[in-house]
Amino acid sequence: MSGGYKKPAFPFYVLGFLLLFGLTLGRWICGWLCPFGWVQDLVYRIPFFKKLRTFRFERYFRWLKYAVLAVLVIGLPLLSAFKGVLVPWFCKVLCPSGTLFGGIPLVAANAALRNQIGFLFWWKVGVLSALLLLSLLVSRPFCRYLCPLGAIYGLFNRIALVHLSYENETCVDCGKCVSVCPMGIDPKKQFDSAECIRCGRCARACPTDALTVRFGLRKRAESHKKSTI
Amino acid sequence: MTRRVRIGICTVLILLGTAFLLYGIFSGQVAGVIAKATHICLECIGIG
Repeated sequence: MSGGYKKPAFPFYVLGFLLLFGLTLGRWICGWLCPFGWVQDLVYRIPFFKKLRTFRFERYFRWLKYAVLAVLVIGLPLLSAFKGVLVPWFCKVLCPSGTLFGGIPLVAANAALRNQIGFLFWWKVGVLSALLLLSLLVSRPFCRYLCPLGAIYGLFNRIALVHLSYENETCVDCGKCVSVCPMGIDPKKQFDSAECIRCGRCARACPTDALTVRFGLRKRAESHKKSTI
Repeated sequence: MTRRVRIGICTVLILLGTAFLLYGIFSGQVAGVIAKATHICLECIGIG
């Protein structure tokens, strides 16, 4: 996001793109378009002795992605830019998707690149491995705790055209939606939460269609329902 | 958040997003993004 230009410039194109996609789709992008989210979903399906829906102090870990956004995507790249160097810090030190889909295949296929790998490459392989191991236990740990793009799109969830609609009148409180949610939230209470990735599993599990994923402006009544983050 | 406020925020942000996108396109920022996306990103690999 921050690298690639000769001179530091306000990233109008990237911000405009994020604004328009955020406003239309919100975190539906995380649920349906992100390749690393899909990989985490696959790993989570591997049977493991215990799966954790949530754990103590987990909600505080969810704030980490905003710190990653502030420090690695905005702060450090800006500092680097002022020094005349453009460094995409998030891609460089944390992004597991780049390592999995770009780094490992390219390094495996290219002998010249293999000769150049050093600490940074192994650090990123370590981050990727840790996240994949954690995915055995917790669903989508990268999306929950670290992804800065998810943090950005999450901010749009309350106003995005793709939204989760909840009808209190038809809900029978069976709890199926809560048990299938990959983000570990309660879709009945947090249907507008920045954590909801609009995957629609709660809607599919709902026996009374109290929850549905919709596209368009919210109904008048939906706008007045309470939602907690 | 009431429906009216939600629609108001949406409208302002859509206009802002469209303006940013168009300004970015006409000021040549697309080339920078495409160049970064199509070339091997050494930072992504973990070499840069």
